[in-house]
Amino acid sequence: MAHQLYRNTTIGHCLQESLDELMQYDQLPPALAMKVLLQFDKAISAALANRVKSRLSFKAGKLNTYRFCDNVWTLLLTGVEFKEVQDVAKADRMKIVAMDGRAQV
Amino acid sequence: MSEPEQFLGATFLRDKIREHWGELPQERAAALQSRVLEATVSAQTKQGSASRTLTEALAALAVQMTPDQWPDVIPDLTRTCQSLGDARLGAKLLLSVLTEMPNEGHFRHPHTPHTLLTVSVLELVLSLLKQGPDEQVASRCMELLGAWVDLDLLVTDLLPVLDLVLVPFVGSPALISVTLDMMDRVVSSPANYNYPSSVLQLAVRVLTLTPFIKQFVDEKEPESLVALGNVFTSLVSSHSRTFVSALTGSDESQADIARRTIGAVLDLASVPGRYPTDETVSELTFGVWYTLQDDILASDEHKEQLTEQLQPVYSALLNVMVQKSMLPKDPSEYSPDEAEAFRRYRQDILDFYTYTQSLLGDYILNSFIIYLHGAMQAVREDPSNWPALESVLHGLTGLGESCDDDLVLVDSMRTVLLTLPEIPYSNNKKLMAAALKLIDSNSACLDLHPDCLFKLIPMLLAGLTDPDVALYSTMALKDICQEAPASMAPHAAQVLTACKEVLQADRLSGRECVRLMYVVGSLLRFVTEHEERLKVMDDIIRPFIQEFKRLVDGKDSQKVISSKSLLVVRVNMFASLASAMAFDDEQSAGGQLASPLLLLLRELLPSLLFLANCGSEDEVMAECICHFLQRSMSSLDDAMEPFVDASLNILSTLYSKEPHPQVLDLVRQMLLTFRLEGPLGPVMQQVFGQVCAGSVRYFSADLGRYPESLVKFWEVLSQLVKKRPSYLTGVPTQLGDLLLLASACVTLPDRRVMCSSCSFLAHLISKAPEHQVFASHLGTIGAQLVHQLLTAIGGAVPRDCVDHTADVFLAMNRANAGDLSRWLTAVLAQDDFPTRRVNDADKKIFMKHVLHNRSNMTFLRGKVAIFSQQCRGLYGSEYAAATLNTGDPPSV
Repeated sequence: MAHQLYRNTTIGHCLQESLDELMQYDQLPPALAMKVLLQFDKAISAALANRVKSRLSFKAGKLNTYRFCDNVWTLLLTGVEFKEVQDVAKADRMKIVAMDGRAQV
Repeated sequence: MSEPEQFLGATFLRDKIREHWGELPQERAAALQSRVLEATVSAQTKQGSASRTLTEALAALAVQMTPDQWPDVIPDLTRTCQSLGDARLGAKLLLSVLTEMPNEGHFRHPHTPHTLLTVSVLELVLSLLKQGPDEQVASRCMELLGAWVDLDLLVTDLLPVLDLVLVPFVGSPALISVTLDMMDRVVSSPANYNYPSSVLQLAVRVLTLTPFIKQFVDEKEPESLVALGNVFTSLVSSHSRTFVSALTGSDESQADIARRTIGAVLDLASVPGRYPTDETVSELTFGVWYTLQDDILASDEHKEQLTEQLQPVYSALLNVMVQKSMLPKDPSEYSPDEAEAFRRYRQDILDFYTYTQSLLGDYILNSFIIYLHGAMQAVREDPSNWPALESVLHGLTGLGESCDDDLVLVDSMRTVLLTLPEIPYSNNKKLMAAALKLIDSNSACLDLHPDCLFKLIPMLLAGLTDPDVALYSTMALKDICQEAPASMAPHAAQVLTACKEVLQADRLSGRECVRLMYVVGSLLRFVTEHEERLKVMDDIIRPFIQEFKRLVDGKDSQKVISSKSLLVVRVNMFASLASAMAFDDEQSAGGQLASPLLLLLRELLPSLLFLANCGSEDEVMAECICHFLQRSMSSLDDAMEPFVDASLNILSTLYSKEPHPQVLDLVRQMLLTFRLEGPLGPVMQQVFGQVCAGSVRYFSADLGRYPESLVKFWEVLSQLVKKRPSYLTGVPTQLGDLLLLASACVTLPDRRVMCSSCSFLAHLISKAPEHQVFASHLGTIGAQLVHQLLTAIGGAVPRDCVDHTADVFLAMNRANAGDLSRWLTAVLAQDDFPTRRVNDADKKIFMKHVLHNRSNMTFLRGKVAIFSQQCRGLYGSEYAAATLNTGDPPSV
């Protein structure tokens, strides 16, 4: 089973809302909705691993918190600066949640 | 029967076997088995789409019936396939069925015993391979092994097969791809983690493929090289600890295997050719070096020994990376996609240098210093040798960014920085840009070694006059002013003069001008004489102020609109200047404003008011004006007070025609910074009232039109209710409208709007006991609000937002439980409300939970979530349970 991490993304939320709506109007059984979500987990993991090539560098002023529990890293950074060629974008706070892509749940 | 009908039938059969096997009476299993066997064999001769599906059905059947109902599955399948009459076709069918079996979910169940089956399969494959089969059968054998590798198939079991076929199959164009694919799965199989000696035996077999690296390079077969590279890199990455242990173990033969395997990965990293046009395999090796390094550093007792053993490898790698990172002499060699891929590759190399510093320490920087001198000499002899020098400077840039805390590295970097002016640039823009970026990356180090600037400032100022590299000069100057401001003090006059000349020449882009203004503002602090400072401002900044006024003060709105892009640049320049002027100043003897920023504000604010009037509907214009005011406030803090009135006037003008979220943010900042009880109180209250009235007007007309502004509006009001509720009590006539608007937002499907409006309502209602006006308005709209909250819970908003309705219920319960009880009873008494799926008993339980709980938010949120699932018909389903927690993975 692939990680369910990406359900908490914009696209993951949109999918769940769409599934909820279809179930509300009895157009989709819950078991099938579950299968769709599981397929989404696999598809998004594969797509991010194989089809996304974008790279961006960033530097943080401070690593506020680091946590490693249940094989999940959670990092909280402040004063983050993203650099891509000429552009620099800033964020006051950034949270990174990272899981081992090779290990499967 | 037609082929589509056959295909549908086969699909139905397969799915029924997979998912509804339990419905079949056991006594019918044997009959089904023989019918499926017969149908599958018969379909093979036709080779249609149904034949593949029937193969899957047969595999599913074998899995369901093994081992109890079908103990001799391999011999039976072999016999059946032989009955086809065509040995080759029979072998292919047999292998296809066996290949499909591991894909069946049931087969992977930990309690399904299949060790004996695995052994039988392996014996079958070995016997087929020994017969010297044709390429198709051989290919199916490899696919089968790849599929079975995760199921109790140990490396030791596979070694006879590998010894027989690995090298010949990799040498065969028809079989190389499927064989290397199989090997990749074998080397990465987690089953081998517990058997380190088996891993090393596997490595011996993989090492037999090493000659193919050179062969594929010579024959220009990049795809085969990548497939081979995957095998080697997966082997070392997956079992790096085994290899590291072997290097420090007592068994010299194992240590030799480990060394040779790592050496093979180094060969892959060093394949000749340019990335990504000539080769792509070198990129695969990056992960290996990180994994190896982690294991070396984790091995406390053997760390020194390992570092000594692997230093030659990493040293060779440094050399390779510098070569690989060289830019092409002709940029048109790369298409745009290839150029982007190469940019990322160079970034990966920089990351490698930075990461390896932990292992190699100052060795890496010392190596780069040697490379630097070598490359400089090469360029002196022949300027066309510039790519190597550029690559070294690029590498040093990455090292410079990460050496802030290491004093030894900082000292070494000083040597590098002092060498930069000696480079023979010969007007080579790439070299100049690389040098300027290197200075930029070391801006923090210059704080410790400000003497370097005496040699670097001329370079930076020369770069300002060259449009090709001005970008890097301005970035470096700005970063030095930010990170090492004190180091610029001796150079302030020289730099200010250069900035003046460059800005007047008008050759820089907008962004470069904005950055340079930051430099000007930052350096003004070192001009201590008041008159001198005014003169500098007159020389550098006044022309821009005059130009700005000329464009704006003519009261010609058409002219303003047509000059929009220039005006935006100028306002952003003033904002950059304002952000740099955050230094204390003393008043002059005459008691006049001495701070340059205050002088700037006095000059600009009237013109900004007119600009706001003309451009109030333009988002970009509004943003840059707000940006300037916000920077000024950040720099001046309380000293901004004399200009708050004018600033609020500008903000109010901007908001009069369009609800810009930046305006709301700045209004909030001002209202919270300055006291309502002070002299600015009346004007702040008045502006707040105007903002509320304007917001109600905009958002009531079309709730979905300005989602960003709506979210910001509720966030601002939430903060004001918490910290300064007197602002809201000061607009009693508008409170009702605000509450009605917030109530309407509760049922919006936009997650952020819904959450922010609930937050505002919860905060406001929690203050109701202290402020009668809040309680009074709540009493008027309470029933309607409860109706809206229940509509949201019932399905109007996404399920993960309904938590926020609990916040509002809790606040209402604490403020006035009696009224809440009355409203809930009245609203829930309606039939089919919130939905027809909840009955009276469910509603009663929900009401009880809401009313009886006045302190436990987590409990109430849980009950709201359950009621929401009941309303949506999801309660009790696996889907609802799986999608309850869509936040971060749980932690203990």
